[in-house]
This record gives sequence, structure tokens and C-alpha cells, in this order.
Amino acid sequence: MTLDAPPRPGVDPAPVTPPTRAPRSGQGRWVVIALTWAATIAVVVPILAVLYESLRARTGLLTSVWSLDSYRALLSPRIYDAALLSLKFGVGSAIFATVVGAILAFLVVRTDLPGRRFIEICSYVPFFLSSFLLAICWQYVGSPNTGLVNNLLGGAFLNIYTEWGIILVIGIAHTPLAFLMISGALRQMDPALEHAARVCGAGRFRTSRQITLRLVSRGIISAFVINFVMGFEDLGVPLVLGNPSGIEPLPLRIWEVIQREFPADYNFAAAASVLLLTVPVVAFWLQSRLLGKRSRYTLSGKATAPQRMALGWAKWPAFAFCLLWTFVAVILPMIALVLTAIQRRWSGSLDLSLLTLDNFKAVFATSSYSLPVVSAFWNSFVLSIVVATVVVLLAAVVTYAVQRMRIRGGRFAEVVLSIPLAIPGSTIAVGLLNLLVQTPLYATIWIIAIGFAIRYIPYGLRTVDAAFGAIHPELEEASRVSGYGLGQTLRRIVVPLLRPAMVGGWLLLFILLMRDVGMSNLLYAGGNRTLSVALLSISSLQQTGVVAAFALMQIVLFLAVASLALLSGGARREALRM
Amino acid sequence: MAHTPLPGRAGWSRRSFLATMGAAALTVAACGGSGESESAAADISGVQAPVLDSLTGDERTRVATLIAKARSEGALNWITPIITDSKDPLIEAFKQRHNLPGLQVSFENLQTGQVTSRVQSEVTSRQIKTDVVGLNGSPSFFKTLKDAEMLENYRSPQLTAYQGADKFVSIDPGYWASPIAVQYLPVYNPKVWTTGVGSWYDLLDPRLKGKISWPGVPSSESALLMYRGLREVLPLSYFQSLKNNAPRIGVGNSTVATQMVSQGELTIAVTQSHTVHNTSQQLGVPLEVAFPKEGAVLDGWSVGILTGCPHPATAKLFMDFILSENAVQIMVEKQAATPVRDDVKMPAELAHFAPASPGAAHAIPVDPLADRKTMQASRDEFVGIFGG
Repeated sequence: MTLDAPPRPGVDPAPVTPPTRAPRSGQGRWVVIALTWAATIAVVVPILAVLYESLRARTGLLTSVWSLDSYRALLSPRIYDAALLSLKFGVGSAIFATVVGAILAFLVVRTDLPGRRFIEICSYVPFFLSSFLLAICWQYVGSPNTGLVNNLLGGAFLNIYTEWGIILVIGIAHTPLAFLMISGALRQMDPALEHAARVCGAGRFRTSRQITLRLVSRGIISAFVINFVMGFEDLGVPLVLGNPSGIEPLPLRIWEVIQREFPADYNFAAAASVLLLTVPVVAFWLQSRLLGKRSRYTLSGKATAPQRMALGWAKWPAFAFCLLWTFVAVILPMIALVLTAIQRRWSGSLDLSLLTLDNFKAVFATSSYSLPVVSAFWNSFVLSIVVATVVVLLAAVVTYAVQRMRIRGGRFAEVVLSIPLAIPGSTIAVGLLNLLVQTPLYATIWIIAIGFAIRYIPYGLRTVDAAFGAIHPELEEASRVSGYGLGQTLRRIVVPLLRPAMVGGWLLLFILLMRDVGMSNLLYAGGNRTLSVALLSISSLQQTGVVAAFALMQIVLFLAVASLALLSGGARREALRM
Repeated sequence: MAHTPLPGRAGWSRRSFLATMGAAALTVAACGGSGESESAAADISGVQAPVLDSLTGDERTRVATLIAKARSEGALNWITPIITDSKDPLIEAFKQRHNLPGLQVSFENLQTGQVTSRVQSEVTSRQIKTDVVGLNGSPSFFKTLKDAEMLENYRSPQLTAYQGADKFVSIDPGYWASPIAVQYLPVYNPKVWTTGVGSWYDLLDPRLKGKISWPGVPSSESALLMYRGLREVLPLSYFQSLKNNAPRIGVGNSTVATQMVSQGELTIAVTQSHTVHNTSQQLGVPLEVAFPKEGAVLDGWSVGILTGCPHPATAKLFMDFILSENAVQIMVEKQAATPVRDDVKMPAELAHFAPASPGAAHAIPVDPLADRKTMQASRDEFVGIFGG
């Protein structure tokens, strides 16, 4: 399986001269090879564990036998409906995110829209929150009877606890990714073709439709597919908005089987995970087929910077659209969350007599939840730092092994290590649960760390791979000719050159790991509570105001980290590479 | 009353070498105290505690021995839903009564699903970290654990006060017992819904369309029991009519459902009523619990000790305590739950939040340990009407 990468703006063209192999001897070489294959095996084993468990059936709390019962259970109408619902969420949210993301990207990158930088920064904000946090915000915005919107409009206009409501929130959560990918394609586009079209008499609209749109179609298709996969496997939004109204897509069903039912049926969860795995794999396969036929469109090698299109009279309607997006995606949910957090109880409006800061105190109240909250923050923090570091370093090692050392089976390892991009996090989590439940790793943060590392290694690989492409191998050859070994060459030549990309990738991974919902909720087993798990627990045990206060604190934390990343420019650049 | 060792591990050889080695290491760690028996020698000469004042003879020696061992164990791990508002006074009273001021009580207030998931994980991985588990509406959970020999056989002397309680709640003496009980009942704000609720049929009022919630039967065993009980007194057509009122199914646990009523998001929530009193006080909103004339299922909050738990002596002391008059009184006063013991009285000001006793609950009898097929048929029937 090959996964098509969106365009990589800012990366120099590949060197003309083919790279020479790194030396075939030395201790360092074997370390690099061992690490590469260890990472590859780590990805394969949980998938095999899922397949294995899906072919077993529980006969008691502690016993199971070979059986196809779990697959037979998938044929039930409940699972059929759940799978259909997941498809609906995937397609619906992908259409929403891709269309809105494409419009925003076009306006920000290719037009003279006023306030472009502001709109661009606002467009990233939902990316730095998890879909889970966004769903919690939208509870207060769109509840039918006490939602902020309905209260302001004086009627029941919006019900967020519906399939459309869920699609809307997933779509909003994933729009920044579409924006990033499509804006990357637009920035890289060769403007000469547009010029030619205009010279030939094509109007602004026709040029946009027939030239620009086709030139960025790879980016659009990639954005659609990745958004479809993310919408298909999303757990956070259905957990918050689907649960209360009996809307149960496949990831939520798997979560319920593992976290709510007794005895938890890991065999059925494994079979359902296989089903969950099939759809993204097919989607990525279709994508590669589709994009393969479109390879005649060249998106690189631009000679001049693209000229911004003058919007003319359409400037202000376009600006209004962007402001509407910013209001709906960022401001409205934040207002609702803040209003909920600062009031004794939430009734859909601001009641000055109910103002309080007690909700914030309650989050850390010594008699109730202080330890879980503090330990959850600490767990998430440690996990994110450790895993982001390990993934980036491992990615550097693997890329070096494949690109420079060209180890035997290196391309195979590269493909295998890309697979987690197409696998739902819940599938990996189920595999790890089955594999590690009897080891000391179980119920520690390290089982989550392993899951995170497997899940996010493709992101690290893409970051480092792109940066490696820009480093000519003659620098390493010069190092070796000067008598340096592999270790010294890596330390003194390769790593310093890769450092900017690695730092940017690290920051992006840190944010993605801090906000993770799906994997940590499935792998949680007491003592390894992360921020999202703590939020889920508190949301079921505490008053609404306390939940909102905790969510708000998380959002402030995430945005602070994201601001650092945005200021450095690293995370955005690396997100564009993925 | 020897502490039962962990059962054998036959049939597990399919696991990987690493898994087996890890599990074996953890099993050894988890079984640290399992070889000891209560009668094993322990220095009780210096043991003093309020609980001993009323005890004599062998029972005094037994409890003093447990206290001495609890001091060396130094900790207790307790997981349960429901006991949100009474856990602090309960823990304090337990420590004071047994003179265990330095005891580290790790309490985790989890949802029902999280409790069962946690226990299953610990049992499966042989990493028992939980000592005492409390759960409501899940007798099959305790039965499954008992069948797997993962529930400690401990007959607390307090069980004498629970004779006859099995008419109302699930109890298996020596394995699990229920000191308090709760019911799924309609909860509403009397200022918003002035009509009141005297019968389950009142929920069919068209004015309630889209503004009522019903427990999530597909994913909750206690909600399933409640549904099975109601089906004894209400025809299928009742639920088909209820469907026309578009109830929200499974909005969350009682805390969430009660909040939604207090905020005005729901007019009536059918939920367990033990959080109503405290939510009403915290949010400053008047809330009422209705007692429909057809009755409701009484759902015991049961407690048991896991086999191979890390602090067995402390767990046994805690089991004695949680079933005692003192502890039940605390839970009744803090949670407005129904006491199962006859000698605990419900304060008058709380009587409109929960029945004062199991006998006063107008409880619908239902077999909580019905076979899987019966349970699934009821679940399917519900799903057939209301969806997944």
C-alpha cells in the first residue's frame, strides 16, 4: 500500500546525482538496522494481534477458543448501522472540511483578501484542540433547549445532538487540516499556467475553475481522503454528542464494548477493528489509484511567486465568509465555554447573579479530583515529550537507513511504517490491549506511549523524510572522507542540518499527542489517566461548570503551546509536509 | 476465612513469552499478602480502636488482628460509582473507627463501565490493584467474578443485619452484599413541570416531547434490569407510545441527567435519584423525585473484595465497616439513598428523594441473574423500539 503525501512546499528538489550508499560496516550500521526493523515489527505486531483476537471467542472471563463468532456478530443490524453511520460521518465531515478548507486556503493564499494573516491564524485554532474538546464546547452552543444559539435566537433552531450536528463538529475540527494541505498545494503551484490562461482570454472564474482547481486537485483529494479517514474513525465527537442521543458509530461501539460492557469482549472489538481498518485502507488505495492518473500535473518547479488575485467587489463578501468561519469555528464555542465555566449553572445565557470562580477551584479541590487532574496533566505532558522525542529520533534513524544506507528491505519497512496513517487509533489500541494486557506495561502510561509511538511514527517519518531530501549526500561523503565514522557523521552533519525540521515536527507531534482522545481512552486502565481521559471522567461525575472550567484550562494550555509552535513557524511547516 | 489464592492459569499458554513472563512477575507481586491467613500470628497487644470497644472474645481478637495487619498494609484501594458525595465522610469514619490515621485510601469514583472494565483488566492481567469494588445494578458482574474465583469469600459479621434483604436486592452472603439501594425514577423541576408525575403514563404527555430522557438500556445492565422490571407492569405499547415523545436515550449517568433537568435542557429525566438532593443544593434549583404508582426496580449498590487484592486485611475491615449501621447512615444522609438495613432511618427531610426502606419502595421484583438469552431478548426489544 502506498500513501500519497500532500505536496511539500519549501522543500528543495531532489538532488540530481543519486546518493551513494553509506558504508556497509561498523557498529553504528547495525544499530540503525536493528532500530529500523524493531520499529517495523512494533507496527506489525499489534495488527497481527488484532487479527488473532478477532478469530477467538470468549468462553468465560479468562478463557477463549478459536471461532468466527466475532465476525458473525459483525453481521448484526446494529453493527451494520454503526458502520453506515461512520461512513456517513466520514464522508459528510470530509466534504465539509474540504470545501471550507479549500475556500479558505484559496482566499488566504491566492487573493488580496484583507486580514489574511488573522484569518489564517484563526483557521488553525480548531486543529490545536481535540475534536473531543470542540464537541464539549458545542454542547453549550447547540443544545436544543439551553444552547447559546437557540437562546440568542429565541427558538429551537439548532440541535447538536443529531447526525448533522456531529458531522458539523467533526467537519469544523478537521477543516484546519484541509486548509493546511490545500494551502500548501496552492503555495507550491506554478503560476505560469494561470498566466497563460489569462493571456488566452480566460476570465478570473474560468481560470480558477479550469486551471487553479485542477492544479491543486492532488492536494484537495489528499485532504478529502485524510479527512474522510479521520471522520470515519473519530471517537471524541460521538462520545460527547452521539452518546446522549443513541447515535452510535463504529468507533463508539468498539469503545463501549471495551469500556462499558462486562465482560468486555475484546474478541468482538478486534473483529470490529478489522472492519474499521478495512475502510481507510480502501480509501487510501483509491486515492493512490486516483492520484496516479493525475501525475501529469506538475506542482513543483515554480519559477515565480504566484500573483495574488484581486477579488474586486467580491473582497468584502469573501471577508465576511472568513469572519463567519472564524466566529462559528472559534469564537462561538469559546464564548459558550467561558460562560459555562464562570457561572454556577448553565442555562444558555449570562446570568450575573450566578457568576463564580468556584468551578475552577473545584477542578483542583483537594477533596475530590485534584490528584487525577494533576496526574493526568503530568501523564500527558511526560507522554507527549517522550513520545514526540522518540518518534522524531526514530524517524531520523529509519529515514537514514532507507535513504542513505539503503538497507535491504528498507522500502518495505518504509511502507509498513506508513501503515498507521491508514489505521484507526482504536485498532492499534485494541491490538496493544490484547498483546500487553498480561505484561507489566499494562495500566501504565508506557502502554499508551507505545500506542502513540506506533500511531504517530508516519508523521515523524514524513517530517524527516522531506528534510532529508533537501540534504545532499555529498556532505556526508565529505565527512566520511575526512575520516569520521557513522556516529560522528550523524551527530556533526546530519542532525544539525535536520534540526529545524525535527524541532518543528516535534512541536507538532507534541500538540497532537497532548490532545489525543481515541487511543488513550481505550488504553486507560487506572493510573495512566491522560488529560482527555480525566476530562471524560469529570464530565460524567461533575457539574457542567466544572467540566467547562477544566476544558477551558486545557484549551488555554494547548493554545499556549500552539502559539509557541506557530511563532516558531515549525509546526505549521511540518504539518504541511504530512 | 483464609485468603483465597489466585486460581490457576491453565489454557493461557498461547500468549507470548514476554506476556507470560510479565504476567508471572506481576502475579507474584500481586499475591504478596495472599498466603497469610487472618489467624496468623500478629501482635495485637498495642491495638486500640473505637470499633473494639463494643467487641469481646474471638470477634475482638479477629478484628484487632485485622487492624494490626491493616497497619502494616498501610493502604486501601476502592473503586465504585455512586458514592460521590459520601466518600470523604466514609473514609474519615473508617479511619477513625479503626484507629488507622495513616491509612492511604485510594478512592476512584468511576462510571459503572469503567469499574467493570478496570476489574476485568486487573483480573485478566493478574494485576489486582483494587481491594474493594462497589457497583450497582450489576449482580451478574459479581456472579461472573465469583464463578471465576476472583471474588473473595468473606462473611462479614455485619451480614446478620441483612437477613431477608435478598427479597429486595441482590446479595450473596460471603461474596457481595448491598448496604444501600437506588431506583430509576422520574426527576423534574417542580417550577418547570407543575403537573407532577404520579404514573409512568404521565411521561406520555405530548408537552414532554423531546424533553425527557430514559436510561440507556443497550449499554447499562442496571438500566436493563429497570426496563425488565417495568415490562412486568407496563405493556409493550407503553414504550411504543413513549417513543413518540422522542425521549433521549442514555444521556449519561445520574449526575449528568439531573444536571440537564436543573439547567432546563430536560423537563424530566428518568434516572437514579441518589444525586438529586445534592445537585439541587449545589445549583440552587428545586428538584423533585416522583414515585410512579406502578412501582420501580430497586437496585442494590453491592460491595465485594477481589481475590488476590493487595490489602486483604484492610479490605475485610472495610467490608465490615461499609455494611455497618454507621456507614449506611452516612450514605443515606449524604446521598439520599435507600438503606437496606432495618436499623438505619431515612431523615424526614430526605424522604421525598428516595424510599425510606426497601419495603416502602414499591419495588417491582425482577430476577437480576436471569440467563444471558433472557437479558439479550429484553435488550433487543428495547433496541427494536428506541434504536441502538
